[in-house]
Amino acid sequence: MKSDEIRIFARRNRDVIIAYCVLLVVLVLFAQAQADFFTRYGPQSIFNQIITLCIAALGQTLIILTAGIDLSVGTLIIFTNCVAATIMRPIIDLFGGSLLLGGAVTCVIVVLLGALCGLFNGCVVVYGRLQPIIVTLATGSIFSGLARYVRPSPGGDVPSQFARFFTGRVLEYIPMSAIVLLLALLLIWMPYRGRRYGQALYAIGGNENAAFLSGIKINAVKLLAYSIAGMCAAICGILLTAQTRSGDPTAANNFTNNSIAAAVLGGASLAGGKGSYIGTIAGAMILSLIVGLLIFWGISSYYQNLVQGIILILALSVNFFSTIIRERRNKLSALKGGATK
Amino acid sequence: MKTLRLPEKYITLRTLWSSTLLRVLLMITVLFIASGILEPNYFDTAHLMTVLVLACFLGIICIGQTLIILTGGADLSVAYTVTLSACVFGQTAKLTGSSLMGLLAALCVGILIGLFKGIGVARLEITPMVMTLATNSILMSTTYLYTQGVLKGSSHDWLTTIAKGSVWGIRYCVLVWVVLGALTIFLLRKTTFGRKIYAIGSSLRVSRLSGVNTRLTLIIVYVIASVMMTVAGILLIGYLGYPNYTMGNGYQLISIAAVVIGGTSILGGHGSYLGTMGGVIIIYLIQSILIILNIAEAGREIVNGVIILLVLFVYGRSEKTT
Repeated sequence: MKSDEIRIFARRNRDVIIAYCVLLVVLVLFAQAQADFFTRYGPQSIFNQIITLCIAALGQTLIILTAGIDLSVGTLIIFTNCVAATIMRPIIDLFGGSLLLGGAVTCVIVVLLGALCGLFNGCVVVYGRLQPIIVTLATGSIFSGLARYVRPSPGGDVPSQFARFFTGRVLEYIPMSAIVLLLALLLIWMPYRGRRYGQALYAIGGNENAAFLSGIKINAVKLLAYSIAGMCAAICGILLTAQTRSGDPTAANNFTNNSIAAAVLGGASLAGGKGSYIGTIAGAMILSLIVGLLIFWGISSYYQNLVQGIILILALSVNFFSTIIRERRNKLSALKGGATK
Repeated sequence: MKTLRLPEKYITLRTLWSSTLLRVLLMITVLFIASGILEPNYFDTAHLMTVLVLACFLGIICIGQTLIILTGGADLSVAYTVTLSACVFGQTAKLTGSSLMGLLAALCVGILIGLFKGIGVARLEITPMVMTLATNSILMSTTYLYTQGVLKGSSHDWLTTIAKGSVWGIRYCVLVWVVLGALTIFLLRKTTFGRKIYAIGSSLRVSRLSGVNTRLTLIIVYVIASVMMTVAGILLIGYLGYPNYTMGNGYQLISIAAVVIGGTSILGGHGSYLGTMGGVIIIYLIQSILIILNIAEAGREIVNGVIILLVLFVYGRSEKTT
């Protein structure tokens, strides 16, 4: 009985389990390469490396679940990063130099802005009845333009305390980035997944018509998903601001590609209706940590994208190899059956 | 019981409007007149030719993109397929001293890239968008590793002539585009291979069950697409004079936009290359209007996005579900 349950669980979550196995391998290699892995600095540096992609990939996962794809994540992150870096100092001055209050208000404004941009994406997709891929491609161009408008040149004034708060440690040992990731998991993903709206995402991704006929409010569900995705991009923008302490409208970032790759590595299907944030986290961690690992091993950064691409393709070929193995086994058992008869 | 049957070729305003090609043509006319009103010089044939020259590179890339989108995929590896093949051409031509060798090497690389993508999509059954995304990362690394950070080689005389020379006021590269485009239209409309592409785009499963060798067809589609991108990359060297690392980046997403603006469904199975040619011209007419309006880079990107959305609102919306 028990073993059956385990087998069913393993079959259902095969992609996630594979992702975590790969992550384990990467972490072991990491522990071997990084001298201070087991000190308090190890987790801090690891979580700082992965946090931005983990947050960006959360939004991407939600959209992929609805059978969409978001090509505007990268530029929305740049846009929110530029806004955060630009408005932070004036807002802090507005509150009489109070860093805590000013920083908090900045974050709230930027997150709202991100949610608004996401809502815009959602409105065009839902009410315009257009394909998400092409909509987000166009809005991505708009966000990029807005970023250049806000910050014509790279720069901005970000207090060092702000940077230290987001990249530092709490209570000596716990990295702030880990707390942010935990909060994203506990405050955004878990409640969302557990409620009607989260369940509806899977239904829509599985079969939109069927979902519609079962009375799911497709428009509302999609609008919420796109808004939350925009919010995640904004949070990622804030974290990026804290890490780089500036806003750069010309920065070429890989967040769009990597967030899609992370979701897919974590078991999401671009056809929709399959995937979870738990898996995505593993995917995002693998993709970010690989970069660090190559640096530790002294391998030229030219190989970075090569390795990421190969991992993605290998992870997705698992399906192919498992069917081949199954077919061969079936053929063998059929042959044996024939022989005994 | 007799049923009333309408004549087959019963043309009303409504059926006319529902023809995507007509909408594309209308959009081109509107944009062309708008740009002409803003800047009278733009009615000049010489200017028209410069727009076409800029458009022909994207147009040739979009042959590949159209074929792939028609099968229900989308190619996100345009950027480095173009760049890598251009780099291979430049470097091989310089090393061997013969531009013919460079051409052959670049075409071989194009075929190999196409086989890689095609086998990934058709045999390993990876979603096309993810497969091409991963291929793009791999090609990006390959480009840097191959060139070791130093770009070598430059354009050759004959290549420069193709990109910049003209006969009766028509540039050779535009002619190349027209010839390749006509071949593509022929391929899609008049051959069984073309029909198979549409069938796969409508339903991969049904076409496989109907006896179409979907795997082989998909692989050939990806090979043709990659070779077209290679050709565009080589022509781009002729136009720019030298290869550079960012030459392909600008075409990555705009190629998808051009195909969709041209009336091809991003879901596959519907569309034509003639529409895509229109879409490519629309994109460059928009760009030229933005240049006349003399908007800064920031504004240009915003207006570009807004116009793409507006064009899509005019057509390209899916049916309303009730």
